[in-house]
Amino acid sequence: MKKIIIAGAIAAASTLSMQAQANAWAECGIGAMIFEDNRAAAAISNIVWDLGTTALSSEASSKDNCEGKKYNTAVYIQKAYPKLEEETAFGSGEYMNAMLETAGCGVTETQAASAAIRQSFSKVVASPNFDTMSYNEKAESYYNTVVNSAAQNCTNS
Amino acid sequence: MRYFLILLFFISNPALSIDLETAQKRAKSNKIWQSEEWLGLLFYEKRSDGYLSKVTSSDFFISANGYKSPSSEVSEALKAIYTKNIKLRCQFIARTDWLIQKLNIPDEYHISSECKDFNEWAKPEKTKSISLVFATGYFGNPASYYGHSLIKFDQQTAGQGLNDTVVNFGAETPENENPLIYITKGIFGGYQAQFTSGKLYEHETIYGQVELRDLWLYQLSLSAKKQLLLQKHLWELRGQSFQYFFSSENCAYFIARAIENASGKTIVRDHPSKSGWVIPINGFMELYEQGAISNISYIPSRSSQLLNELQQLSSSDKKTLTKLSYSEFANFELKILTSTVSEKLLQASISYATYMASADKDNKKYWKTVRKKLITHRFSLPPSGREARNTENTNQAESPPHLGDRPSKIAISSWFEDSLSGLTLTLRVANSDQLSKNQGRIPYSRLEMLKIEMDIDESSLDLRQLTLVDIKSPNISKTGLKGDGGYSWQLSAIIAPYDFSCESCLTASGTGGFGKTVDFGQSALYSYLIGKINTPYQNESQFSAGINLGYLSQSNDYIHPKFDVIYLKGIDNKRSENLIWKAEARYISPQNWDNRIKLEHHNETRLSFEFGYLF
Repeated sequence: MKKIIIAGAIAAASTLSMQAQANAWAECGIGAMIFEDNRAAAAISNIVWDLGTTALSSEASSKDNCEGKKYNTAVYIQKAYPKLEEETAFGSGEYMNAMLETAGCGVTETQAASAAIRQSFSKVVASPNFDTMSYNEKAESYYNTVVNSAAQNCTNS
Repeated sequence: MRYFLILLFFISNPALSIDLETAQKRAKSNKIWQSEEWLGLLFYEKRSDGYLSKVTSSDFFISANGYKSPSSEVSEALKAIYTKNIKLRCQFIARTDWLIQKLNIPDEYHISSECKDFNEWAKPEKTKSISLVFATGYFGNPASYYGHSLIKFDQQTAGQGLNDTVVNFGAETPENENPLIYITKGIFGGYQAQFTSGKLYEHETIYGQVELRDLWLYQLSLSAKKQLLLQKHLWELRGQSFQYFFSSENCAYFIARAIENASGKTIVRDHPSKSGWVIPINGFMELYEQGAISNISYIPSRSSQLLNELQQLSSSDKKTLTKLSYSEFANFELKILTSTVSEKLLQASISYATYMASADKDNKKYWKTVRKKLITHRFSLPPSGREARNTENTNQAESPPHLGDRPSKIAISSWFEDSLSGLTLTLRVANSDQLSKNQGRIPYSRLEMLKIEMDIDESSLDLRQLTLVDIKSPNISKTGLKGDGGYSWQLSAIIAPYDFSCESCLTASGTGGFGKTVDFGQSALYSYLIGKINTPYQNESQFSAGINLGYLSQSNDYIHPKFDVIYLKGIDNKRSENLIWKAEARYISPQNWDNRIKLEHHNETRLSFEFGYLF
């Protein structure tokens, strides 16, 4: 009986972990992690001096079952979406390269993955509802695009 | 003979014969816990009754008495080594590896390569160097004018190191803390602070993209051994708490202390006792002067990137963008979208809209819409493959912040007034005035805190001025585009004689104002509407309003002059009037000298020659 319970617990933990990996954005509460406009939060943290509280909060938000490439990629996208959006519009950039590295893409795979992301995300940008999408919705959509593009183009994603 | 040689080998190689008891004895006889390195790695400070570590969290120590007993920490660390306690060995990898090396403990106890978590975090084999990072002063908040320091492991990750590990030091503060409580607790040690780690991109998005602060990377010149010890030391320090003091034991102090502890260099160790103040840029200057910096690189902020992109535009593109920025907002993106524009102009337009969405608070929503349309438009064009980030910002890159002035100043000046003459002694704790060098600070700004000036004449020693705080924030336009720059503002709290002519007439005053500063490249003209409140003095007004006009120039390499005229009229019943003018020139010296000539008038005229030293 004990073995069954342990096996069940392991299976449940494993399933939870897999789910987190499969949809890190939703499972790990990425959307609720930081504000869209973090200028206010940053200003508060610096109201007297550079307290560095922004860095503290980022580390504190990590849950035990939320780790690994997909989780890290989701966090990266949530924090750097405006820069990624801009670089994707042009086709490449340093933020994209670093994000793809986080997603598990090798140097030689970055170009193809970037092109795939741009091709796919340009459809999201061209869609009529893009203008009304919130920051989180755009970032999540971008994350889904990255996960799919990395799966197709990067061997270690 | 063979046995004799084996015996001789063991006798002559103590590393192979040492056991725990021998190691403890050797540590005791050598008083190893009194070595600077051991005391540094555990942040011990000597007190009258022994030692006390600055680390306030108990889990930083293996021994229960470790926080106050360097010797018992040595003893427990040795036990962890000899019992091969992998958890403790990896958690305290810096101190245990240091003991192993110092006491020649046998190879079988060298197990730090098994510390998987440390190796994943530090990536020692990929860390080519370690950099001390300076985030320049924050334009949006004078409290962050001093800048901030971080440590980065140069791990050669993609995107110019955006995924490199960064170690930060920051205070733990409750959300929505009352600003007054914030200041009080910060100054008097009411907060705990921690070392934390993250990735460079997390800091760059906040500092570079939101707060528009440049990041300067000073690569440390460390041997491979010291570099690894620094990584191990920082690993031990992650999550450990310290008492935080804004002026002395702050981020700049603890970040520099961590480097000192592992490298043996002296950066800020003596600063709190010397001046009571530790400012981030001082650590960079010290390291540079000691030849401890092997390379300096630069990550431009969004605003510096925009400036760079503008400089790379053709003159016709620059005119187009400038014209568009000054035309009706509603037409801005339409003109870009309906005409064929160069790739560089489109990039600069997106950067401009992004910058404005951050800088133009009144029209944030509009600029976000403009940006969205421009980016959507860019998606409809073929990819360019152009790197969005451009680091070739030569103007800024030629002026690293360590080339600026040191923040603290001591000066003596000889002054003359009608029939009087005397000396003035000046001590300024921090930071800069309008004639300071521009590197690493906001040009033409002033941020003076805690400056005391004492007049010495034939018969007395009098307070000439005590400046608690004196800020002038010019908020100039860097690009010349509409919306870049804004209102200048000033704020001061000073205790000084009411004017130059009176005796025993100290008054405390507070002055605030806002206005505009126009930048002409190497000179600036400014005007402020000001209001002043002061403690009573004879029949003079306590509430005044007026204007401050000024001009300063940095076009000459050696002499920087400044002129100020202030007119104040009482707005209470007394209606008193005051006209103050000042002319001042600084001789720019490559060393740490700050020599000036001043002519000032406030009901009496004073000429002074000041000889100052910056430290």
